[in-house]
Amino acid sequence: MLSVLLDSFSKMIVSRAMKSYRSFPAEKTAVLLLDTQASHVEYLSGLHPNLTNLLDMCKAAGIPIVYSDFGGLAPSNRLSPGVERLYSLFDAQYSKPDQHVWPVNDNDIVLSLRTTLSVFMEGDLLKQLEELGIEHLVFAGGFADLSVESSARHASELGFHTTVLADCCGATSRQNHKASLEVTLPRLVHEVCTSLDWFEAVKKSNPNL
Amino acid sequence: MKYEASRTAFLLIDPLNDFLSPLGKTWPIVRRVMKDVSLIDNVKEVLTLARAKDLTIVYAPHYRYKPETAPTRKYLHPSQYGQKLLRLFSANGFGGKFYSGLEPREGDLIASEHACSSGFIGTDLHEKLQARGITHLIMAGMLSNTCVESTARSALDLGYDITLLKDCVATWSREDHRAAVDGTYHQIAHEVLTASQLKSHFSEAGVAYA
Repeated sequence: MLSVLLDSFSKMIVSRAMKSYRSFPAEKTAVLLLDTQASHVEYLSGLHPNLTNLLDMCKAAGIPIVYSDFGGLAPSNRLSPGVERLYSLFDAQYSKPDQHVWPVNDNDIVLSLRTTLSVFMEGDLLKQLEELGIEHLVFAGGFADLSVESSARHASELGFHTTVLADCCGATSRQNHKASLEVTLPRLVHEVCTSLDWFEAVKKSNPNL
Repeated sequence: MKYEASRTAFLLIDPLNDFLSPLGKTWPIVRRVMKDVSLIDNVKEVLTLARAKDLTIVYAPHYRYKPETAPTRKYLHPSQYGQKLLRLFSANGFGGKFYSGLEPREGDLIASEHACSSGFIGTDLHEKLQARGITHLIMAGMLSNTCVESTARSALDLGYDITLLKDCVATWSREDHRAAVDGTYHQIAHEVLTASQLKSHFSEAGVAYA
């Protein structure tokens, strides 16, 4: 009982401190949309309304979207179940940047296909974000428990103010959606919230909206 | 899964007093799950087994707190905030020392300290493992869903085969522990075993390779 009380108390203190960072000036914020390529459209259909609203909000605020999709040639070594799942959904024909299912704006970034769960483990995204002066990263995507979680963990370690939008993420299962977004990620990123909460915070940070 | 001794390492994450000792600062919180899984006994048993089978033993320790090197970044990681608040894993005190019975021996690898949660990010762990030709990591330590899982996620991206030991890890709460060992571990690890299952694998004829 004591351990539960102490844990709840410490969680509350850390969460309150992390919320003090809550600010999303458009020029310092980017949204990372992971694993939402055309070959995943059927799987992601339940997320479409929320993702569409998210992209509309970003466009109105001038917040860039970074699109990063998993795929490419599978390595010869044994795959973990999660990575195997991503390769099973991947279809090279429907994962080309010019076939992206979402409207890409001029200030958006479309990255090459990656073979890692963390978007920072390969490529030069970190450098691109630093050059743009981005400090606040907001994550959404097909698999909360796979690419979103690995990338969000990595982002907060790299020093970005990191937010995950729970209602804009799918997962390999309902159980893992809950595990990632309600239990684990709140310990490792600055905030997990809904897209509506985030829209309100964006409006507060950008009074011109 | 095959365990080639020359390519397999037992990776212990944060086996430090502030987590594992009854005198440690976080022990009043983590002791519940530690007790549930018999963490100390299981980790000691696997460490003994790993040494007997000539596996490489690797330590990935957390940053030891010193006021003069405390993180000053604009957006502290939640773990950095907690560490700073409680002065966890003090560099000069008891909390930052390896737990007695799980400490490194001569010949073991000790990676540089990780600042937040992944044992690979900003450290020399990958370089040290590569230099020994390690391709398979058997992982244990603290905490189940933070440093252990972050390290496993980085290891997966770096191409390692991963075995996670679900009764050789513990964390803040039973809910956190279940989220990891019954949930996300099964997506990111190549196998999730108990200490006794690992022992059986090693005992089967032809499975352990020297």
